[in-house]
Amino acid sequence: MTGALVDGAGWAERLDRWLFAPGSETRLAIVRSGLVVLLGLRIGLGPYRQLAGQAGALWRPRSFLHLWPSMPSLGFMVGVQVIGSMAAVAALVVRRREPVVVAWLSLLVLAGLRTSLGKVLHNDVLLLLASVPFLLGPVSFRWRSGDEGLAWGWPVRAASVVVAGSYFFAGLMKLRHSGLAWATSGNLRWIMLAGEGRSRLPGISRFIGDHAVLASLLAAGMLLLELSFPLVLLRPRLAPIFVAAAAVVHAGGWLTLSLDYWPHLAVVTLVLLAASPRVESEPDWWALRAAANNKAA
Amino acid sequence: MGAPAAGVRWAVRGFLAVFIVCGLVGIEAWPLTGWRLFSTLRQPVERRWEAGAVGPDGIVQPIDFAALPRGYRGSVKVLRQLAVSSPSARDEVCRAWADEVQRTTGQLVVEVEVSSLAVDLRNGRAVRARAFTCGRRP
Repeated sequence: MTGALVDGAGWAERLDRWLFAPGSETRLAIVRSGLVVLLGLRIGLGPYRQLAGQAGALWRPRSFLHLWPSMPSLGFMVGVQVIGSMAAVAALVVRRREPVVVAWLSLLVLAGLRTSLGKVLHNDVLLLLASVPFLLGPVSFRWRSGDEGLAWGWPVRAASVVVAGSYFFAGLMKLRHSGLAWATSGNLRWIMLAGEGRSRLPGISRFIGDHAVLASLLAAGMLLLELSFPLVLLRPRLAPIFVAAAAVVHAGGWLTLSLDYWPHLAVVTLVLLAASPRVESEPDWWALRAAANNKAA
Repeated sequence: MGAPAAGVRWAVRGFLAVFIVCGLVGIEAWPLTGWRLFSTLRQPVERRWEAGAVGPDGIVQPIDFAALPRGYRGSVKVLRQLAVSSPSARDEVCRAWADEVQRTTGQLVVEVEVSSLAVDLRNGRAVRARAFTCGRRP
């Protein structure tokens, strides 16, 4: 791999080679099956039926949801849930792509309806986006295959880019809209105090809100974690550290602000831990940069 | 199995490119997103909007949107947009809330009163200012 990176090829070609490099069939089977299970759970257990009956004046559709004039009926919700759940089960036993496409479309519609209440929801976004490569990729159930090949690596690597990007862009947006003050001002204090009413542990929210230095340290840690997440693509051995840190952040958000990011965390864990590639398949980023500099010179 | 077909490769490149552009520029095209999660700086004085159900006796009861069905839970965001909406749009939304409160609680609602609230998070003090009423039943 390293040898391939120090020839005269440009950045785009080298990134392309990394993305489409050989990968493990076992990892593909694990990550694909895991994502299908998550899709099925979200479709079957999500609170979509309760959305039916919303008054038309409150309908706030997002993107493709404009196709619907108002919140669909209970029958529609149940129908999509049944079709989506059955497709997810089929995707775990049938060696074809179509069932996972149907399951994905079902969650896309259901989660889209949920985000058409007035606020953009991100709870299911990572699951939907990280699953996209698997809609196009090969299907395998060979969990114990030792095979490596060009067919197996790219869906998992593309999903890893989406996972790392989700955190990096969240951090980038904080910097863009608030600057370093996101961490250095009392920002997290006010977030905690404003959210105290819906906290599962109001005492913890109040404690963080009352301690400016602690709030700033936590905010700085979170910002640092988000912005450094792409490192996991460069050094996959760091995956357990990033997954553990993400678990702490999401558990904290759930306890203090009742933020339900469990599907998000499940995707991060699945993609980064199960997909952690072999060390020798890591790109040599320093050689890559040196080669690009040499080419420019 | 061999390498992915050229069409698949281009589809994957295209998807990742769109994902990255949306993230960098902050484009919202759900499920593609600009990942604006708590990105706005909060202040010690939080400004909120509050809706109250006005009964026939003129008594105002704050509407607890969290207690209404899930289809009404996004109303806090809708409330924020209501201040800049047309009177007819306000009336439509307020009547929907009034109907649901009446259906859920059995409480008779003649109109909805919307107030702006400035809450000092340091001491919990709130200053409420009545903004407008809407959705009055004929």
